[in-house]
Amino acid sequence: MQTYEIIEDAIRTILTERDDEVPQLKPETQISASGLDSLDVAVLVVRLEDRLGTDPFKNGALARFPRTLGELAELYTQHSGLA
Amino acid sequence: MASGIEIAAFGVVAGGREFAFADLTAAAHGVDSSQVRSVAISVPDGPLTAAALLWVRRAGLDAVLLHADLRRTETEVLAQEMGCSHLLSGGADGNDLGLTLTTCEMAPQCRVNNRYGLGLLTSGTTGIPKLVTRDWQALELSVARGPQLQEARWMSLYPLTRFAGFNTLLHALCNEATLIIPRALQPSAILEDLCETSPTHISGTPTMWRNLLMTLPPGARSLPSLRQITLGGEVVDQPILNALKAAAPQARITHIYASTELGVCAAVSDGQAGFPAEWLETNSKRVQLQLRGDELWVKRPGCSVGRQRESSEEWTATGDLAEIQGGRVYFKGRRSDVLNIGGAKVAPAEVEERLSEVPGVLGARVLGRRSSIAGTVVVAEIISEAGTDEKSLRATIMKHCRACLPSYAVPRIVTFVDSLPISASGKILRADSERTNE
Repeated sequence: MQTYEIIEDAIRTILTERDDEVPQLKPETQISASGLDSLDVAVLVVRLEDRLGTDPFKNGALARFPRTLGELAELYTQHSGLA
Repeated sequence: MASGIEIAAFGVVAGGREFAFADLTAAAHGVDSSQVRSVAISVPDGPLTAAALLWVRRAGLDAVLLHADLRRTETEVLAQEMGCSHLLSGGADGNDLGLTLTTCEMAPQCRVNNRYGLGLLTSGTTGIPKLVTRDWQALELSVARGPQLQEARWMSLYPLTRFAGFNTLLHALCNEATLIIPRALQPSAILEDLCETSPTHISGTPTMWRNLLMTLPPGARSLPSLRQITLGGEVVDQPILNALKAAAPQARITHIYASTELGVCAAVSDGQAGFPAEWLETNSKRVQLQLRGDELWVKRPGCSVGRQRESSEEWTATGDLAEIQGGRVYFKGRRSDVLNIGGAKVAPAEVEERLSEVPGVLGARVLGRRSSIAGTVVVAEIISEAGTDEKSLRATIMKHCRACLPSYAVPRIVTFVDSLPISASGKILRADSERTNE
């Protein structure tokens, strides 16, 4: 799976595990419109660390927090590229 | 300070071999105690632990029983701290009975003039463990004795050089009974020894018991030789008590609340988790218990911490959280294990207990994982029963947790694992650093 697909899958897992409906997810979908609340985003980052082996938020100092799922995927791709 | 109690019928069974009292005392044959002031015991867990203690007891020496897995530098620091003039060590193989006495290389840092009896180490999860001293006679007087106990065969699931293991050894010794030492502290090895040696009394942590029950072959869910099962060292919940009752209906099941520092503070044998709330009010007992806020306090005579023999006739905070519910006091785990989830407090042991209530869950560990963007996230690791559908078990777990836990305490990530990491003293390891640093 590509980084984007892994992120989408992780979001689906979080939502289905608590019986929430999963909205249509696309790279343009805003993270705030993905059905996740702020704690869910924290959970997502922990899950992605397990699956992708990296946490781009760990050392703080991000110029800008990604807004869409596509931007989030790009951030992870860049980060694992650097690692 | 040798005690007058006769122990000549005491014996040890280890690794398929039997060691009679004479074999154990012969281990120290030719070891001269005349120049010894106090001795640090550094031997492998096994028959040699018993042999070394018998020698020290007979010679009436002050001694410190060191954990078998201490590093050499730690051994030296502790021997120095206790002013030990000598080191009593044994072969690398615990079944090779031979003890060697050497003088301590470094001069003792402080001269301890007063006698201290026996020094035991606390489990010390970080750094060098603390020392607690006990008087041999007081230790031996605290052991229950009875003619029926002479036939007993005690097995310890704890390393013998740790307090809980030492305590099992002491029970076998004082009753002139047999001590069974498992060849290894892995569930499969213990189970093998259990079948071969038919112990009547076993003591271990709930974690060890869970692991042992998981190893029992299906259909053979019984432990026929057992008359007494003892649990301690961690929160004992109702699911593990029920599981043990089912596996050994003939046995008495006792959970004890004890620590190396305070000794045994409560022993409960009514098959229920926690202990009766009346115990908080009775002042007639030697040990007094009190709930201050959410923490249990204990007042107990006759033990001291550190080098000096201090009286501890004072109330001590135990670091253990407890709560009264329906006339019973239930333990909620260690204060130091409590997770701060967005300002709310979550006791991992409490969440683990809820998880263990779900059919299909054999073991659970709850941790906090620091998230880089929003504090700590509650995560759970689950050992599931063989053949369980993990997807539907996960759904059941989440439903159960949401029904009986506040939302902040519900595990956000549930993973299935084959085993849970345990410490040398048989407790679940909890420090989330060893998880996040992987």
